[in-house]
Amino acid sequence: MTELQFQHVDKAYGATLAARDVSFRIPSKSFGVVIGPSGCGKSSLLSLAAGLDEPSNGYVFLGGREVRGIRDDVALLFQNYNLFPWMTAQANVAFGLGLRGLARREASAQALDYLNDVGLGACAGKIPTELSGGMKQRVALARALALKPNLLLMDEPFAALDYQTRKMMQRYVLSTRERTGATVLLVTHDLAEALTLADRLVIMSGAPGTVQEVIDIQAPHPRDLSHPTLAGLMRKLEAHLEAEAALNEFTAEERGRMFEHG
Amino acid sequence: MSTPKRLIAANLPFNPPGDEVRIAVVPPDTTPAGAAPSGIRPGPGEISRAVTIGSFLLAWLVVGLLWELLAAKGILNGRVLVPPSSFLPYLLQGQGAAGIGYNKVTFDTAILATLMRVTAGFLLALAASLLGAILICAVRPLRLALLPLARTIAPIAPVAWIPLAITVVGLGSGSAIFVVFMGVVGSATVAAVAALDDVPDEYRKVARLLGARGVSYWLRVIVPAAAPGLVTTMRMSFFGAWMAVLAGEMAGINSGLGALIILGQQQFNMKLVMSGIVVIGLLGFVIDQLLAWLGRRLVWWEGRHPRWSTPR
Repeated sequence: MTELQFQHVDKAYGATLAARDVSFRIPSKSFGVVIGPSGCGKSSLLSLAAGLDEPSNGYVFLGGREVRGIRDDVALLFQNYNLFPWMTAQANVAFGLGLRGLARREASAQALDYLNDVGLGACAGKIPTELSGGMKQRVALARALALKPNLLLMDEPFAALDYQTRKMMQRYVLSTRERTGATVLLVTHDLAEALTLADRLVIMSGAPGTVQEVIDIQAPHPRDLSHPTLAGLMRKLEAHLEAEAALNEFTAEERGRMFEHG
Repeated sequence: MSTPKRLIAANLPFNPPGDEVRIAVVPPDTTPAGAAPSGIRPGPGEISRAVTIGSFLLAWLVVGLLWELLAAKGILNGRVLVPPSSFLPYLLQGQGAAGIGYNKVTFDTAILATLMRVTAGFLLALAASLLGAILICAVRPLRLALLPLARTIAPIAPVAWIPLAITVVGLGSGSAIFVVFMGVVGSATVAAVAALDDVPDEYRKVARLLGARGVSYWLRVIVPAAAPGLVTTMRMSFFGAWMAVLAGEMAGINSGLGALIILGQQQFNMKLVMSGIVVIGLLGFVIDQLLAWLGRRLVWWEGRHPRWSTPR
């Protein structure tokens, strides 16, 4: 069981409050997606779940235990891949395996297996600058999956990819989740991506980030976004984000005056 | 009441009237392939090696010719600013020497002594500054203690260490190595700390999540990630070291290339002085090129690009 739970979490950076009283739960083996405008503290929530940072208030639980520091069974995927450019694709994947005590040869062999899984076995000897964006993200995913994570965190991992690669990666992540049974929490700006992937959708508004609504989506994959229920939800989310964007165009003082007169 | 929006596929120019939505299929471009210019044009900013070397030689040729011309016209005092046609044969015939007997200094021995000193001082300073920078970045109390020390030592001119070096270490190579070390270690440490601090936070996060700690974290992730900045530090530090050793040899450590030039000046042997200056410049240039080559080898991944991209 690897349920992820945020319980009344505040996160402040100095005097700036990034997230306020955030509470939600992603059940074990579910695909959670957090969506919201820029600056609503989405990425901060991932850092907290990964144990890279500590909440200013409240608690984060993973599998019923409070997250205090980095755990071996959590992996994080970034938008800009963050592969080590001085290592080959295979060495990037083998790096974490070696640090977990595997002999060099064994780590290398396993890394190659994971690269084959993402269809990049032939590129094992290439370094990141020799790979395209989609290939890099697949290597990063192989590196994350090689750690056999119970919780896979993803910070807008497909935002920089072209349409076809993004679709392919989404399908791959879904099938990986099915195969490994990992709990997934993905942060995105992309509404279609959120509705394509999410079992549970956490809608945030900012800033500071607060949870606006949590919605469960029960629909088989691959999903047809033109289905009336999903299309309706899409329109609702668009309206929410547009309202947030409009709100951000005014200063707090202007908003105060608007509400006084409104 | 407004008309509902309609989607109409039509091979028509845009600007649909009202709120109608139309799409138009643009016919394919039928320009023959042969009409386009063939061959790959060089990208902007790309300069070939031949052009680089050619422009280097041409620039010095122009300076040399101008110098000869001004000396021949009497605008420059040829006895003081000896022209290349006079000092280059002197240098190439290996006549460069000063002093007599035990104190005689030749170019060969001077170059060897200077290179040995600068290499030893430079390598020691680089090793100390890299180790110091890692400790400063890894241990917070050390940042508070050591970084202000490095920042205080960095602006001290190498020449200022010479009296102390001669008093403590005595005349000779030890003093020169000490001056080079002290002249470089402060600034190199400050620059190395900046390079290590500049490593993107995401690399640190990934490394920690993958399980990197201690030595593996620093040596396998942070130092390679900072390598481009550290290589620049190395090259910049070499210039500091080169100037430090020459200043040291000129101002009291009576051997090496710096001392040879001073002896030439005292004997009013301007051919020797000019030859010394040229040798110093050439050696510095060659060593810098070697360091640049070494830097490219150390950060080998920066020069490799996919087939479809333009090299930087």
